[in-house]
Amino acid sequence: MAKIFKDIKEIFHHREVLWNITLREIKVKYKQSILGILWAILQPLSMMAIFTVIFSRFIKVPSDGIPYPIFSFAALLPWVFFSNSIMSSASSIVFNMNLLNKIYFPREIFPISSILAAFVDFCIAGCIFMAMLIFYKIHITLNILYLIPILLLEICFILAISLFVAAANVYYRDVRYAIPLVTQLWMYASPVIYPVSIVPQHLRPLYMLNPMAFIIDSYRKVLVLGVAPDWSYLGFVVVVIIILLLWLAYAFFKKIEMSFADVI
Amino acid sequence: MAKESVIQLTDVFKKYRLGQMGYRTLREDIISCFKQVGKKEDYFWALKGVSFDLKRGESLGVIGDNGAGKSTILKILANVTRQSSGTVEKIGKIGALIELTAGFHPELTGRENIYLYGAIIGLKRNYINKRFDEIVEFSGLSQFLDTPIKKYSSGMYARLGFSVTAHLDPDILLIDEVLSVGDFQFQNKCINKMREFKECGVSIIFVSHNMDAVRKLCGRAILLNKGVKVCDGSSDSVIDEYYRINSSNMKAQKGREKAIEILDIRLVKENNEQAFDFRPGEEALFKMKLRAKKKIENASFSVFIRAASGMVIFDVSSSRLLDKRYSLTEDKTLEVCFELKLNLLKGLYKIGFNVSGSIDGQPAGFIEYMNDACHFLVKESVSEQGIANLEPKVSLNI
Repeated sequence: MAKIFKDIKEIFHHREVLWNITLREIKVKYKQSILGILWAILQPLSMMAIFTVIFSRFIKVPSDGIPYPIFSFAALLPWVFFSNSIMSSASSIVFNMNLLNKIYFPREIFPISSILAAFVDFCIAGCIFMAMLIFYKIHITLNILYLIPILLLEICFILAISLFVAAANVYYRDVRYAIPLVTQLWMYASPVIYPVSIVPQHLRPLYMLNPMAFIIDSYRKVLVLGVAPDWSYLGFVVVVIIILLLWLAYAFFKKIEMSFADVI
Repeated sequence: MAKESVIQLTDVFKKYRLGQMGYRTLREDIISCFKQVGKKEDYFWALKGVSFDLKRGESLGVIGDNGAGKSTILKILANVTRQSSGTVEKIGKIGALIELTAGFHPELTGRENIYLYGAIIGLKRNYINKRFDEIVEFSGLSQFLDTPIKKYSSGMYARLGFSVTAHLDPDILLIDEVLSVGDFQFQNKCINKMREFKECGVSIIFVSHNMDAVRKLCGRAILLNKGVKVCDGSSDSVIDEYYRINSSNMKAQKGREKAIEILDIRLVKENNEQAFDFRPGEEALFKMKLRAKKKIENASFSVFIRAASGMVIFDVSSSRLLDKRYSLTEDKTLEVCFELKLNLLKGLYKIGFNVSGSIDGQPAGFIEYMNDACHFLVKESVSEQGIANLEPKVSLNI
């Protein structure tokens, strides 16, 4: 346990590297594209548009009485943040191999900066979402403050998965190729295009063990429905799962960190 | 650890997995899992029991062929990888002057890269802000500061990188072959900067193939060969040893199945005494005794001289000088003597030679080629700067 605090202190000690590498990620991502930072909102917006056409016009998916664009965007916001973070974290260490081979700083800085860069996109998309809430005249309540712990929880979960895939990808490049497939499946296993309410009652306990299910559902509840997250229903179990996963992933990462340079 | 030492390596071994050095795919692992039951894994030992220490304020050169383990030592010291066994003790802040391009991103501008690279090597943002103008001035790239560095030449990369590194403030500095790029003027600038570090009491470990730079910067050197420390001592003596091992390796290689056998090679003074030190402008005789083992026609003999940096500064052939080529019958012994006037400035030089011609009526290109037949030192410096003029003559005695 003391070792983890020491490791965290070391990240803090190297915060300038973290900051600069994050800045690099953000700048490089948009530097050569004409639309630049617009891509940050284009991805969730276009997914929202497609989902709205397919799942509210062609196939009538219930949306708990919320306009479907709002319904799907509230879920895409955390989902795109999650999947983009995982995707870029997975290759973050391998992409930086010539740096990693020459100089030491905590290696978790690479996946963390990938997450921070994705978080910037998340914030931009979040602003668009706020504008949409106003446009659809959604009543915002004080329960929106729950967004802070929910967001923190999501970041912890993303961090856990990122640390794990980033390290695993050093050893097996299969990981990077598997991620698009896995996230695709994961999205259907999470309430992105449909509400939790259509999941059969008897499958619910299993379904809600997926931390993203709880997180996405909470986003919707807090932002659109204006109610508090449903902690009573496995919410606390999810919190425990996430903290445990993060602890395991970080310990695993730190354990094999020193061999990255030998394997790459 | 001995008193006054800042680095102490004791009996350090480092092994890498062979064949599987590098990443694997899951498929390969599953397959090898079945295959390798009971089979021993192959290892490659990059370091085999290396021990040395570095005293406070000392500069240590690390030389050796590629694959000798030089970079592995730096990696272990820089905390990038860990030794397989043995102990490594370090005191003080370690700064690494790494291969300069590693921290850069080509899409970013020079200015952005200064901050990025600075942060990577451990400089604080405030500190860079304060010294920014100095850094830019040192690099001499002020007009390209807002250009993405993908448009830079490799020399410009190096200059930018070194300018940032020059503002590092470590107790121990690790330098990995950074002088290989950049023009002559900039290389000098780098050497001077490193001397400054040295004068400030920074301990330095310098890995290089540039013997001249090692000699200039380091009082002491170690020679590695296939992961083993071969010798340790004053950089002059260690570099000499390195050349000696190299040329004897080469002689051993060239001995077999050759059209020409080398019986003797020597560099002598006018009094016919073998020599190593010369004064500028002194006469030197490069003598080779050879035996033809096959019939060789149209033979020509060349010598070339390299500066320690590896640049060929002089190259001449007997055919050019005499406007004539020679035929050698089998088992013919011959002596070739090049007379050179060493109008050279102070430094270490290597002499190489080659023999060209045709064997059995077929042009054979180089029949014999030796890059580093012997080397010599020009001592004392003359005041003039100029181009070397060796005033060559040649005589042949067949």
